Amino acid sequence: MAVDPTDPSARVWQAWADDRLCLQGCRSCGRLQHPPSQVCAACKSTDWDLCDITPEATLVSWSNVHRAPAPQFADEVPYLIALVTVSEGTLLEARVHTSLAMTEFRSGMPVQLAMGAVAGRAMPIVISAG
Amino acid sequence: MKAAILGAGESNRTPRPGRTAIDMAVESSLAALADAGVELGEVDGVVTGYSLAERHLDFSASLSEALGLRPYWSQTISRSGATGASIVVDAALAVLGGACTTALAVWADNRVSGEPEDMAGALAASLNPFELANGPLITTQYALIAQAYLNRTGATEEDLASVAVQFRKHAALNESAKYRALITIDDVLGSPMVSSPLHRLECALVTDYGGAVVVTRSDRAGADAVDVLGFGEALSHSSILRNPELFTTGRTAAADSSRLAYQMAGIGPADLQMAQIYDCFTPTVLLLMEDFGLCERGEAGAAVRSGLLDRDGPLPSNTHGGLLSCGSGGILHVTEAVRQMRGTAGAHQLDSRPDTALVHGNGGILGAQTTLILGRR
Repeated sequence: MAVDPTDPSARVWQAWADDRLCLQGCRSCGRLQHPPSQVCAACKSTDWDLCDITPEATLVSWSNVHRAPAPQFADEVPYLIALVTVSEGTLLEARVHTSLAMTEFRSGMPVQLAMGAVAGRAMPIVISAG
Repeated sequence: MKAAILGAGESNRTPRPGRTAIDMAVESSLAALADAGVELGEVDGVVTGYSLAERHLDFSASLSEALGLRPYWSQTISRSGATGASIVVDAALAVLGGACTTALAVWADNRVSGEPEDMAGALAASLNPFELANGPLITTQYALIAQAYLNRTGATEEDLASVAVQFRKHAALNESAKYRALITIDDVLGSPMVSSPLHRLECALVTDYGGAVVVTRSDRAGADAVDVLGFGEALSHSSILRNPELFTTGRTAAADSSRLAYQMAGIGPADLQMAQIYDCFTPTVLLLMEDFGLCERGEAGAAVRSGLLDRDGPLPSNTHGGLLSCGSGGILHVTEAVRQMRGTAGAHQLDSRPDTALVHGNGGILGAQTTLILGRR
């Protein structure tokens, strides 16, 4: 499918495919925004770019998925999905690939992100927690 | 001037191969008109919800034609789960604004009888691609909110489960509810995990459904009508990732929609005698209760366990059994409220007809919110 180079989502997907840990950042107020969109929700600017992020994030919530929503995930169930804060007010949903058991998860726990793959697609994933 | 609801009707929800959404929309429309004592030829406004299972360029046009109507005003509304409550707001605005005089508000879908491949495609489109690539269910997105609620408030999985137990108790008395056998908290927590912490019995049913109400101006309505005393709508997000408040305070846009509705009605939560609350998953009900001001933040689970929502308690809620035990479609929360207030609910009629009720629809992943305040004359 054709990719529109000015489309914020397409730009983030492309950067992730290039192994770059980044999100959309507003060039006017500096805030990160995810999922990306044409207008900054905070300052309403349309001037944005990609912004590299550090691997450090904070665990907010998690769920262990026992039933696959689509065939490409079927042989992985159950799998763990986390919600993490990468900066003040910016959330990211990511798979969790750590040795830590879910019962040891705590809200506010520091986690580390890295580029990885989910069902063959380049995605940030949580690689360590605690 | 207010808008008033003259009557309500529902379709049969038993699936039948090939049964169409339009067929259920027609059945519920005719039932609502009969209940209202309004002739079909008097209808000059039609607002409908959308179908996930059946394609229509404009559902309201398809339904109008099926009913042999040429209305002045017609609209098809897509506000996901909030649609059932939202079409009542739209009908009220239309009759108050003079676009039409007598409006049908209808939502029907053949989610079981329709084509399953269409359903899968429609549901896959409902989450953001940056969420979907991780493989979440819709249930997972609610589960993330639920887990954060448990983390923050100290509420337990038993608190969540108590919502399903309560509404099943109500469904047991409703002859048209899909699941009527009583369940316990252990049954809920022992049902298969779908996406932790949510179990199968904490998730909405998928059924066929159809429901309709007849709306006009209050000065054209008789003593048996139910007035739309107030309404409010608010939208906070499409993707949960764009609304961190869901995970910090747990406040949703339902706090805004209910505040607007209370203000318009000139009443508050303490004045309510019944509530019909969109219950797609058990945590939805707890968060919404707190947004409505029915209890303090973090206290909703304890309130449910103390019987707040019981049909014999202070605020009978989801007296039909809700999405969790009766059937799909937020329009059933509307039709149930009207029937209880008009005294036509049948076997599960409350002992005393409520004078005031809150009806609430929630759409998306706690993003689109619509609150109605209804009052008996």
